[in-house]
Amino acid sequence: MEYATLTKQNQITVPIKVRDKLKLKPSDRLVFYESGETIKVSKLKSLDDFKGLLKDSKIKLNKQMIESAWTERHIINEKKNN
Amino acid sequence: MKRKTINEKLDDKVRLSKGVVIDTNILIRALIDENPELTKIISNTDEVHIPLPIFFETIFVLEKFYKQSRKMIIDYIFTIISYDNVLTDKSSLKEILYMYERKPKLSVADCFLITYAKINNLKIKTLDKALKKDLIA
Repeated sequence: MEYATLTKQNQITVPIKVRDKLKLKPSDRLVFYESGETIKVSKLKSLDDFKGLLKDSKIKLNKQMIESAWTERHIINEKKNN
Repeated sequence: MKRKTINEKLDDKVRLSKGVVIDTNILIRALIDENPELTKIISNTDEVHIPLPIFFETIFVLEKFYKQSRKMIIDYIFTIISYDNVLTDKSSLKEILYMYERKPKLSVADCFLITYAKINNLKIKTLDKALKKDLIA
């Protein structure tokens, strides 16, 4: 756990350990998000960080697959509830 | 003169129009392709509309076919909606994603239903046992 103090301008200095952990550099953007009663902070990724993430997947995406994802959800729900 | 491909014609339309609306396959292919269409569209278009059902469909496909974790999916969607020119119901979507992360037994559609009910002060009527259980808890 690290600490920081809020200034009158609502700014904080990100503690060095957090900066190192998140590999932050000037002009990086941060994302604050709710997690239960607390707020988590992480470095905002860019779309480039996700580029080719699934490139090794053998799955060839098509319209039927997309539609079947909806249908399957309904079928699973029906099975669970009967 | 070389005839333009369908994609080139679509690119021309994207350049001319100030807004586009994105389909699920663009969001999925952005994770597969080395030079994704999504990056080009976001960089070259004033308004990139992504309706909520497109995000839900993307989540279903990433879960079911690509077996991706909720964390990865949430990270990806938060990144997409961080662009100012990406237009959707960001405030509801954030609420939905927070719940989707916290409640692994609920689907994204369940999370949407709960968020919608909360925003509009409505009671939920459902036959889904997991959802009912969550509503009581």
